[in-house]
Amino acid sequence: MNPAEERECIQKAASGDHRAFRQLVELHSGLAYTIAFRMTRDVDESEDIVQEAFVRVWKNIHRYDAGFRFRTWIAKIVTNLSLDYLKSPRSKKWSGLELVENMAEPMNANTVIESSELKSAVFRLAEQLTPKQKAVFVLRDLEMMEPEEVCKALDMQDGNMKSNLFHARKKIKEGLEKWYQKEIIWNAGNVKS
Amino acid sequence: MYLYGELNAADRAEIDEHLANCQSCSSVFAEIRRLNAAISLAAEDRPLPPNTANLTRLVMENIESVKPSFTLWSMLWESRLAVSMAAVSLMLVATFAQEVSVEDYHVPNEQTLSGVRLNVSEFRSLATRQKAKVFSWSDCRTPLASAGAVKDCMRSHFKQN
Ligand SMILES: [Zn+2]
Repeated sequence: MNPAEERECIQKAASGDHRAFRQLVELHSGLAYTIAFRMTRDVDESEDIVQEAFVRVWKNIHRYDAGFRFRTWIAKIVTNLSLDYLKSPRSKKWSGLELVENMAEPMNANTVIESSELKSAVFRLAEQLTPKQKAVFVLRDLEMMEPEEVCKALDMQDGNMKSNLFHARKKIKEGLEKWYQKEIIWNAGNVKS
Repeated sequence: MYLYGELNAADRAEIDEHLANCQSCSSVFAEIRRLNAAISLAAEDRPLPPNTANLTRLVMENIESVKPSFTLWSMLWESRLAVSMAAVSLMLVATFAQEVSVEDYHVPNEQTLSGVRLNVSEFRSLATRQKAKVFSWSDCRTPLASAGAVKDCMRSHFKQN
């Protein structure tokens, strides 16, 4: 769907057209779910967030500000709902110990680190970020949204966004370095025996 | 940090030479490379809903029972009507309607002037029926009050109720 078609769809949906709205849902539910899951790491919670987000979009679609890209608006609503969840007592928090234990168990004895292990190390480290750092990291580094889009989605000033991103990357970098060292030591020990 | 991949061959050679001889720079460089590689890998992994079609169906079911929270203001806006001073009282109704959230009221989708008028009368009759909860917005309309002050007054009344 090109931007003009999307705009037409939004206008139709704003006048109550369910079919047009359905097209918007089909176009953006993947993005919504991806952000929700990256924030919560919980399938059920992510599905609930996506549903709630689209109800909000539907209710407010006539107020849609064309100064935003539609996907930025979706990202904003989904991120806010995800942040609410992370602040709620329902959210499952990884304890520091769990993180270390999970990360200290390499899955195989190859000296080459498996890409799936590396990915899961990044995801576990992202769980150690503050909710704000995590939101910035997810939107900027994982969703690869433009800095201005991230600021709009999170209602953040550029400086604040960059400082959150800096701390997020720093924590992940430090965690990765520790993880690599463990992997190397473990693999070296394994090779000898 | 420079974008290594975007450097020309000469600059790259110069940096490579420095990195080869400088322990601290080369370890920083390696760390950043590892971080970027790990992040790119994580970004490629796009979690998708277990059942996209089912999720879409649930969303569509949800909105079936929810009316868009059309406000008179937005309807005026969408019908591209110039808001004149004569429409001020209509706007006040609209503002108030926004405050009490009309999302549960059935609002016709026609964005015509007659649609707006229809809704004003619908809103008024609903407001009358809910008198116990709703104050009269005209209470706040004093001759010298600015639009902002009237809005604030109505807000404060609404909060009390
Ligand atoms: Zn150096």
